Amino acid sequence: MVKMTKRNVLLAGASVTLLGVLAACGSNDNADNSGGKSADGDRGKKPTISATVYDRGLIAASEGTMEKNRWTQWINENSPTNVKFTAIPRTESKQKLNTLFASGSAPDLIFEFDPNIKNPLYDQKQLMPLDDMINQYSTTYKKLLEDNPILKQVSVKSDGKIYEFGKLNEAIPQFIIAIRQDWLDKLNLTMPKTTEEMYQVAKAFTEQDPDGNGKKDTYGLNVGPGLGDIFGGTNLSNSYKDENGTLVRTWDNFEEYIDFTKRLYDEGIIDKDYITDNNGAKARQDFLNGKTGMFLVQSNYSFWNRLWITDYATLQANAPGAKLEIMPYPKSPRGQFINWINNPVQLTAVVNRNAKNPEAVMKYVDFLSEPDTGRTLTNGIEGTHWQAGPTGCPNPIDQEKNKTELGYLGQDYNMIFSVVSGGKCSFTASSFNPDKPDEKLAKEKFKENMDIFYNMIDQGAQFPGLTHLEHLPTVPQDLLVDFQNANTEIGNLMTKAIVSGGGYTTDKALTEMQALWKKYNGDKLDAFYQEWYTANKDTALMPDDIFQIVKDQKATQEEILK
Amino acid sequence: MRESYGDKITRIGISILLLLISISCLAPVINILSISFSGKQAVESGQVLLWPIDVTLQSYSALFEGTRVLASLWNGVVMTVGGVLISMVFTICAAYPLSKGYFYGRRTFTLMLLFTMVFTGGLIPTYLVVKSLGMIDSYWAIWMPGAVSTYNMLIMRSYFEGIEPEIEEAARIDGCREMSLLFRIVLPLSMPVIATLILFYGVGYWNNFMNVLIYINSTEKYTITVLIQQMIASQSLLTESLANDTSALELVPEGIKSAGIIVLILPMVVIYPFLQKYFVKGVMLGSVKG
Repeated sequence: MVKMTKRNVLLAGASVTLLGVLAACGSNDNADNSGGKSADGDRGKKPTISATVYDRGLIAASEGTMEKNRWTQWINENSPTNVKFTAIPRTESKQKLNTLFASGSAPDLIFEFDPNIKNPLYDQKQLMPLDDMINQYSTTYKKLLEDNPILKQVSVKSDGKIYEFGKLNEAIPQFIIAIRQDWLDKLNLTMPKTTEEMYQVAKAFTEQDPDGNGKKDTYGLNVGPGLGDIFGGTNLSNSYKDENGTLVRTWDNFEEYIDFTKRLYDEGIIDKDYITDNNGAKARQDFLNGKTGMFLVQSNYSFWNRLWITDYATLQANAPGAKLEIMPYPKSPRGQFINWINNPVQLTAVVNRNAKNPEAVMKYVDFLSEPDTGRTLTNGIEGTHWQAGPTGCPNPIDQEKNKTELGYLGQDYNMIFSVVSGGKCSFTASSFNPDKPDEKLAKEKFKENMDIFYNMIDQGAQFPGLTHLEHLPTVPQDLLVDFQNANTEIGNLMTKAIVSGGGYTTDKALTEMQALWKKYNGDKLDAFYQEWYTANKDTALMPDDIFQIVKDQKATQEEILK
Repeated sequence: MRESYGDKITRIGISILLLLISISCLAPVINILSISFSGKQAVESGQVLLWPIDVTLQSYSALFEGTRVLASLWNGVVMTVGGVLISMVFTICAAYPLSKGYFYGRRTFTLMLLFTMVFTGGLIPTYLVVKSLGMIDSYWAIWMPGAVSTYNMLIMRSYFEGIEPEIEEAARIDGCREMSLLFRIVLPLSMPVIATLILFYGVGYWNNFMNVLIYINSTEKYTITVLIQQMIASQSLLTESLANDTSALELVPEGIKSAGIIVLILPMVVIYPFLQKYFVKGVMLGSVKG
């Protein structure tokens, strides 16, 4: 045991002081660094702005930090402005941005996906209107707005001014159903076309031992993403339909959804523990172990490769002979609905009202909108990270090297870069290398999926909801708590109805749900959405606009996939 | 004394019960440990339970090479050691006078401290105070506002109060003044409570998440707790929200997350046995008066 002699005490005191000095030095050092950086910039008379970047904890130590690495250096060398980055922890961006704004230390340019974070900032008058900036200083981004009026249309807020920068995304299905074709063949079944047939097939998958192990250990399907969309959508803020300009709540969707799922639950066709499987990890395991017949799964961006390359291989290792096909969404009693489509016009950046140099911010946004910038901040540098492949699109030179040097990029530095600016190379389909068998398959399946998708739209499939969630208004502060309560309790009620067997009928659940909606000021919420809809239905992004974008992109998709 | 038959049954029953409880506490940790050493495919299909399958160090090498885990581990150590030192100094300085009956205003000061246990400043006001003191983006922002935990200070105060007044009198007769009384007599007699509080504060600083996130802006100063939490939470973010995050980043595989959790808990697990002998005495403080 250390004796607390006078000397020891002095030592302890001294070390505390030393530590303090060290820490203080550390922060001073840092300030000096950034000071030095802007001094560098002064040489070239470049203005300096500050911007956020998400930190996902995925950068290698050898690369530096999200604020300072080869790409921020590249940006500072090549852009007309110097940029000082502030990292925003991806999963806590709301907390972080709120404290930065509340304390007046928010950066000039803020990149954020979630409208529920940005809309309150607009309400609190923390954001700068962008019209003047765009008109006076912009060239590239201005042209993007002129070429794509829909982007301009959705970035206008209630006071008639533009407050957000945005981008156009690839309009592709966000969720799909993958079905075990080998099970269908084995049991002599055909691809289900309606929800009733889907139920029959799921029942057969559960009861007729399709994996042939003599045990009743398979599930027809998982209660996964998109199941509600088959019945027209069961998202509370989005379940309206337009009847001659009046919004009507689509409670019928909930009814069909509960009826369908309840029957599956009662007959053991879905996992009885699905409620506790919050993030779908158990459902995915069941699928990978060859226990699930129809797998409802997220399918855009990296999820496509995960499903068709990694997971498909695991499935085939665990269940030899497994064969997957894409199952078009079946027709429900409520009609034929299309898969949820990922947001084709996405607003991703706002400017702090206190930004000192709007011109520099605009120049930086223009820089980010250039095709060359977009390509570099996605694929890296030509000759180092990629070379042009047979299609003219970037092909990685060294996957392992790229994993370290590009792995943390995502699109986090160029969140406002549009697919239309990047041309065909920025579409998902261009990323597959057909020389590799697994990527070739992923590409073929992608084509199949797109064909199904186009076909369904041509045949008049409806969008599962009033419009895309990100384009609905944020519920005002005074109704927010009510809305959240209604959301939670109605959600719980749906679950209760599904798992309670015969004792709790769908009708009863529906009556109680409507009563809850009333209790939590549902009438006011309905009126709020109605008011917004009446005022904005011609300018907001509606399903027709989404379908139009799908059609606009069809030629490019088919050219890549042919 | 010989055990009666009934006592034996009870003892065995209790042992079995405690064994079951400890197994249920250990199982998740062992599961995470096994996952961190298993092959990717086995993990993804959920085959790993309490024993690793296809043993590999891949998750660890990916974790150490692909993330800032070492740097943030060091940050965590710096923040914890610095924080514990500061907190202990301040806590002792607060607890000692308050343990003395002759200290003027003892009751008022105690009440003032107790007040902070019930009412706190709230996130934004506290942030503004810290900001105006110029402590944002340094660990001082975490050390200073939380330097003294009132609860811990009260534990220490009651321990000091429990030291026999006769010892103190004897020291005074021998010519001890207040400072040397504290350092030569009281503190050496209080090692159990000091060890206990070091552990309390240490765990608190080590696990500190929200404050680091709010007050620290440079990611190079993030601690390991923040890093690992980011990795784990990113998954639910992607699956829960329909707001699309269009960044085509790969999801963090389970194996790497588990390796991260193991690295995160390891230092605390390693330190615990060294402090445990004091710790047991410490929590029994004040249980017997006399």
